[in-house]
Amino acid sequence: MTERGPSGQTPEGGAPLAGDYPVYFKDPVQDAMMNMILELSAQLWMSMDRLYALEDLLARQGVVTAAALDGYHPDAERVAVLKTRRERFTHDILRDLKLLTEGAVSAPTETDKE
Amino acid sequence: MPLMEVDTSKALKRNNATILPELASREDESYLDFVESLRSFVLDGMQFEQQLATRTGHLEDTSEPPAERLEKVREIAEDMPIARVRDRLMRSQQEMKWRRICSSLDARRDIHLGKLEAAETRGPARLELDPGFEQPEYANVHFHLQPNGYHKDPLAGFRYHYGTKIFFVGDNDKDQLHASLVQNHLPLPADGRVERILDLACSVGQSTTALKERFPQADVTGIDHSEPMLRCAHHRAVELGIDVCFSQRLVENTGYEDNSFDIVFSFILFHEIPMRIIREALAEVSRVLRPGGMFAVYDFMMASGMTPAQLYHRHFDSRHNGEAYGDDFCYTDFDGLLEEYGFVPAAPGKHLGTTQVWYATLAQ
Ligand SMILES: C[S@@+](CC[C@H](N)C(=O)[O-])C[C@H]1O[C@@H](n2cnc3c(N)ncnc32)[C@H](O)[C@@H]1O
Repeated sequence: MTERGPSGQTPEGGAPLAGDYPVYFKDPVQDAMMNMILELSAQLWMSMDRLYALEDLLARQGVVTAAALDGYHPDAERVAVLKTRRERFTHDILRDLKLLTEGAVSAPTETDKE
Repeated sequence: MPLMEVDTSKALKRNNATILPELASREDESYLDFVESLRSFVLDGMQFEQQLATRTGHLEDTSEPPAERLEKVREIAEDMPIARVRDRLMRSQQEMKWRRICSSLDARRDIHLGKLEAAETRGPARLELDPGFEQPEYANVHFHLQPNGYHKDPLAGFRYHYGTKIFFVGDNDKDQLHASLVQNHLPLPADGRVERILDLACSVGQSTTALKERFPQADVTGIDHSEPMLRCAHHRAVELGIDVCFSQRLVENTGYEDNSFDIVFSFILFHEIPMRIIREALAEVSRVLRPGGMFAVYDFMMASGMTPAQLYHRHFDSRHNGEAYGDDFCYTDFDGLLEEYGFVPAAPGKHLGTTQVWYATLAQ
């Protein structure tokens, strides 16, 4: 058993399992698009949640005003940190497209064919 | 379709409050909060079931065999774009959930492993691992798509625990569902004697500790085949200060003496084992439960009683959510099987949402 899910029959009968990347729409690109939207939404929520927390903490401690935020410019070190984070962000959102180009997506499943 | 409809207002004293596995960051928590909301949308908000129901009303009649009804439901759903979206979302929320849970726990893997190890020498809960234990082949399935399944990653218990938090869409964050089953939906044996209790396939021990809280004088043991689950269960019970025992054993071959338990409790086990093992497990329970004892089974409802939307979901869940043996269980006649292994009804069964409950005993 690998870290990825098995497909086909289990060791002892049961229902045949869909493989790692089942396709639900007629065109696998649509599946990838849907996943990108979901990932994007999750990432967006994550940063909204973070922002809300930040605003709340800053306001409670009276540290930062809206004007200071608008005038913010990251220094070089900070720019590098942001770059790493942005790359993970991009990768997470676009990962399904990568799978498409790698050809990892399985042929349409039974749900798709019938 | 609520997964489990129970009154949690009368749950146990809050000593049993769950300790959810700690994630690496607030970001991971908020990502997974989103996934939980997504799941809730798929189950409820998008109203797929209602839309399917408007086209499958004629298939509500449960006198027709469920397999035949399912085929017709699938044909109808085939023409409904929303069915594809629903399947896509259902699958995606699972994949997103596991990716994030695993990466978050892995980010602090050593700390989590250290916690498990440190608990091992502490009480009051006890842990019995079997160094010569051989994992059965049929268990090599990624149930609910959990990477590496229940037993092949040392952090499988923590993964599972956080995973089920999302599965129950937040309704079990404090083990309310487990507590309510034990407190409100578990009748006593007719003679009232409860000295030894066996929790079959206890996973991380949420019902095991709830059982001990309801029956403080009883000796309560949870068994499971998975070492990572049991270590996590033990760690959790140690943290809660609850004196229960976790033991690595197979439900179909427990090794306990005949007639040694007053209650055998089983929550969502039977749909995850193949038919051969369902039968062996029932034979085993009929051996270790004492005459007059209580065998309480809470599991997926039988297909024969399912609505068209429930049949559709069962088919999807078995194939696209790793519930390989779900159909073995749901498409059988569990009442008939209980009878075959010598059980008689101890109290009327019931449905709690889509969870079906059986209370059985053995003649004196
Ligand atoms: C869905 S979980 C059960 C949930 C658990 N009762 C709870 O309250 O959270 C299924 C569990 O059954 C265990 N299991 C599966 N087959 C088993 C067997 N033959 N013997 C013992 N444990 C088994 C798995 O390791 C897993 O922990």
